Amino acid sequence: MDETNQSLVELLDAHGGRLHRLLAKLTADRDAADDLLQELFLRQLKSTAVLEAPSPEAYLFRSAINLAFDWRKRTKRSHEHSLVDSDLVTSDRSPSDQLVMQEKTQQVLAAMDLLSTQDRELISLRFLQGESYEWIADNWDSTPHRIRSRCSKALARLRKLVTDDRPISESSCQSTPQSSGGQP
Amino acid sequence: MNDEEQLFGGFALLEPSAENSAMAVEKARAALLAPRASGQHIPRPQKRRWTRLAVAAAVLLVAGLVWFGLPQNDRLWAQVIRQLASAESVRVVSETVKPGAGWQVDRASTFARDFGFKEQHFLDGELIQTDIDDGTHHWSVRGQHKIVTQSESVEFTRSLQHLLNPLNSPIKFSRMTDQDQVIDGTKYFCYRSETENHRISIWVDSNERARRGIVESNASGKWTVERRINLAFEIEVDQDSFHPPRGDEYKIVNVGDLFEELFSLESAVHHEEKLGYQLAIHDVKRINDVEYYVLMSFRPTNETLAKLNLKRGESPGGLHPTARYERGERNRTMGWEASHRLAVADGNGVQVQALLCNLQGLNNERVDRAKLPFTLFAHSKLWSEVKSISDVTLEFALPDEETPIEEIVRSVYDTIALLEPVAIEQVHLVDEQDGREFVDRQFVVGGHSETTRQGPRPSEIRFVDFLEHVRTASFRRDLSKRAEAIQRRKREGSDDPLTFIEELDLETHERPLKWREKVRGFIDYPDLDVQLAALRLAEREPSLIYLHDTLTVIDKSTDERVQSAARDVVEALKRPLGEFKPRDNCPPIEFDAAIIGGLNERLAQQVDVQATVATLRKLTGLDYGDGETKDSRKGWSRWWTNEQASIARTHAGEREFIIYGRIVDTDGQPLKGGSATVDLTRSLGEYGTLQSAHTRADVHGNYVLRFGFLKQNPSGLPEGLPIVTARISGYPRPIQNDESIRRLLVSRFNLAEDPFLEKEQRPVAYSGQPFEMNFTHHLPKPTANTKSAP
Repeated sequence: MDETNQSLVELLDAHGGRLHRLLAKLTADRDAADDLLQELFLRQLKSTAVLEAPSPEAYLFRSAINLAFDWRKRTKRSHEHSLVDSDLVTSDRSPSDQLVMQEKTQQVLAAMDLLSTQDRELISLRFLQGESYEWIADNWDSTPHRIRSRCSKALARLRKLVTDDRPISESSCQSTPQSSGGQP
Repeated sequence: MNDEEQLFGGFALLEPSAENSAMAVEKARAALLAPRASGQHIPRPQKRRWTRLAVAAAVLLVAGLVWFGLPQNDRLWAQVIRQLASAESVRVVSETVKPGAGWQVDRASTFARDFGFKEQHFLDGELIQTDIDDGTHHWSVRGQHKIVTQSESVEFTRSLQHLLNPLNSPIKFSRMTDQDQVIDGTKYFCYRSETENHRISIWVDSNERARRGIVESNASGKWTVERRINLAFEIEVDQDSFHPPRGDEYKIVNVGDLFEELFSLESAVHHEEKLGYQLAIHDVKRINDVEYYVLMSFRPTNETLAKLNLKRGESPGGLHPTARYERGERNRTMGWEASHRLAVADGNGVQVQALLCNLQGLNNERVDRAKLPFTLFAHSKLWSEVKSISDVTLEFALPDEETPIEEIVRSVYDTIALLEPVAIEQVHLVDEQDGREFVDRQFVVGGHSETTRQGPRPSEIRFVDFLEHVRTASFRRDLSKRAEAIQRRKREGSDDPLTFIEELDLETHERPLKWREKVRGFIDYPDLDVQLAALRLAEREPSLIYLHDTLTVIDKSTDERVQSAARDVVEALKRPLGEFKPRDNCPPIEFDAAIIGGLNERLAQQVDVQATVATLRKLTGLDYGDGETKDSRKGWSRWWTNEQASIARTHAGEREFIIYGRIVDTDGQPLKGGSATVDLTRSLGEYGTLQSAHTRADVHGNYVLRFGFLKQNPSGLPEGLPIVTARISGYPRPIQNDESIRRLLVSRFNLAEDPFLEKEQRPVAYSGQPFEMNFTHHLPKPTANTKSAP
C-alpha cells in the first residue's frame, strides 16, 4: 500500500463515521450515503489536494457536502420516496408525526439546494452534524464569533426559503433563469 | 420548541446506526485498498447495473462467504479469499433451517473460469430465479417462467473486486484443534470466531481452501446451527449448464432489442436531439382541453456515450419533466407541466416515461402544440458542459380529438404488459401522491444481494386497480378546477362546509401529506357540517392516520349522521387493514415488589452496559431479546445496539424507570419478537420524540425495558410521558396497508407512586386495535447512586 493510500485510510478511520452520518442526513438514503463515502475517498486517490490541505478533515467535510448536493441534483426525481426509506427510520413514531417530520425534512433539504455553497456547509456542519462553532472556526480559519454570525445569517436565509409561501416542489427547486416563471 | 428544532428535528430520523456507519467505512476502506493495475480507471461505485451484479456474478462470495463476517484483518480470511479468486471452478451450496422442513438449500452457485457464473435461488425448496453469465451475455430466468431475459454480461473483474471488498467488523478466527474434521479422507482444520450469541466455524484444508462452514446461535446456553455451507473446488463442470434454457417453449428476450423495437425513433410521433440525448414522443392523447397523456423516451446519443466512456445501457443520467408558466397579456398565465408520472421503464439505456401533462394556454384555452420542459440531471461531465442550458423544451403537435381516460389507462396497461419480460427493477408504476408503488426492488445489503418483491409484476396488476390509481391522481388534478368553483361560490356568499374543506385542499394540494393532516384535524371539528365533510373526504381516500380520530368520533359523537359517516370511514379502512378484532382483556403481568426493589438496587450498582444487561437477564429470569431474529449478524447487532443505547441513556438519566410487560395478540398468545419501545413524547420539541428504550419480546412475549428521563428534557415530565409501542415486524411506514404500523399504545399505567405523573395517565388511546399490550409500570426505589422521584 502506498503512502497516499495509507494516509487516506487513516483519514477514513478517523472521520469516516461522522462523514457517513452527515451524508446519510443530506441524502436521506443509506445506500447513497454508503456509495458517496466510497466515492469521496476514491476521488482523493486522483489528487493529493486533501493531504496538502491545511485541514484535511475540513476538506473532506466540504467535499462530502458538495458531493451530496451534486447527488441530489442528479437523482432529483426519487427524493420524495427516499425520504421514507425504511432503513433509515430508526425509531417508532406515530405515522402522522412521521409524515410531518418527513415533509419538514424534505422542505429543508430542498431549500438547502437553493443556498450558497458556504451557507450549505455551515448549515450542514452546525445544525445537521452538531459541530461546535469553535470546531468550525478552527477548520475554516476563522473565529467562533464570525462563524456564529455566519451561521445565524445562513439559518435566516434557510428559514426564509422554508417558510416562503410557495411550496418547495421539484420544479421550484430546479428553477433556473430559463425555467422560472410565475406560478399561475 | 425553538426554530432550530423545528427545522432540523426530523433529521434525527435519518441518523444511521453506528453499525451501518461502520459497515460503510469498511466498504470505503476496502475500495481504497483494492488492488488496481497502474493507470486503471477507478470505477464509479455502485452504478445501477451493479445492483444486479451481485445476483449474477457474485454468488460465490456473497452466498457463501459474507456470512462468515469477512474479517478483513484476518490472515486466514485473506487466504480463503485468495484461494477462491484463483480457483478454476468452485461450487458453493448454502442451506438454512426452515421450521418443520429441516435443511433447505437457499442458494447454489457455480463458478467456472472458462464458462462463467451460474446462480440458483430457492425459496422453500422451489427454484425462484436462475442467473447465468458466460462473460458475453447475462441471462435471467424467474422461477418456472418461460421467458429468458438477455442483457450484456456483467464484468467479472469488477464484480470480483466488489466482492473482495471486506465489509464487516474485524472479528478474529481462533484455531480449534479439537474440532478438526476428516471429510472424504482429507483432514480439515477448524477455525472459529465467537461472540456471546453467535459463532462461526470454518474448516479449511492444508492449502487454506475453505471446505465447510457453519453459523451457530446461542439460545439459553445452547448452540444451534442456523446455516451451513459446503464448498467444492476444481469440480467437473458441465458447459451446457452455462447456457440459457433452450427449447421452443422458451422465449429469449433481449432487453435492449425489446426497448429499441417498442420505442424506436423511426416509429416515434416526434423526435429530436438535444443536450446529447435523443428525445422522442411515441404517443400523445388528449383527455380534455388542458390534460394530455404523453408516452416519451430519451436515450443518450452514441457520441455522448463515447464522450463519457460509457457503454450502451450504462446511464449517464436523464431528463426529468418540470413545469413552466409564463405570463401573457393582462397578467394571464399559460403553462406546461408534466403533472404525474404514470410509469417509468428503463431498458438498455432507453428510459421511457408515461406522463399525464397539463398543457394550458392563456385563460385555459386549448393549444395545438405542446411545449414540454425538461431539465437535465446527468453525469457530472455532461452536466458541467451543459448546465447553463440544462433546461430544454420539447415541442410537438397535439391531437384535436379527445380520448376517454379508461382508454388511456388501458394504453399504459398494455405498454407495461409488453415490458413484462424486463428484469426486475426496471419497470415502475409510480404514485407520487401516497407512496404506493408497483415495483420490484433489489436491495444490496453489505454486498449481499437479495430480491424483495414490493408489488406485483405488471401482468399481476389488475386493470381496475391501476385505473383507480390513476383516478386518485385525477382527483388531485381536479383541485385546480374546483378552486374556481369555490371562489365563485364564496363570491356568491355560499357557506357550504365543503367549500371550507376544499379551500384547505387547494391551499396544500402541492403537498398531499399536509392535506391529509388537515382533513384529519377536521374530523372532530365542532361544526357538524365541516365534520361530515372531513369524514367524507377521509372515506374517499382512507388512510390509517384517520383511524384514531374516527374511532373517537364513533365513541363520543351524539349525532347519528356523524356516527354513520365515521363508521363508513372505518369500513373503508377495513379493506387495507383487514377486520378489526374486538379488544379482549389481557391481564397485566404482576411482579413481586420485593423482586423489583432488589432489581433496582442491583442495577443501580452497575455502571457497565454489558453487565447491566446480564444483571437484568439474571434477576428477571426473562431472556428478553431472544425473540429477535438473529439469523444474521446484522439482526443480532441491531438488537445489541438497541440494548446498549437504552441502558446507556438510562445511566445518563435523572430518573429511572423499569417497565415489564408482555406482548400478546387478541387471543392472548405471546407475540415472539414483538418490538417494545419507549418514546418520551415531545422531549425533543413539538414533534421530537426521543426513543428512550427499545427491545424485543422473548419467545413468551415478555419484555423488560429500563429507561430514564433526560435531565435536559426541555418540556418537563408532563410532556415527557412515556409511550410504549409494540410492533410486529419491520419499521413503521406511512403506507395504508402496512401491517407494521398497527401501533399499540399502553393500556394501563400503574403510577400510584408518582402523583405527578398520575395526573397525566391516559387510558387506552386506540380502542378496537387488533392487538393489545399491557404492562405494569414500576418506579425504582431511591438508592444512594440514583436520583429518583422528587
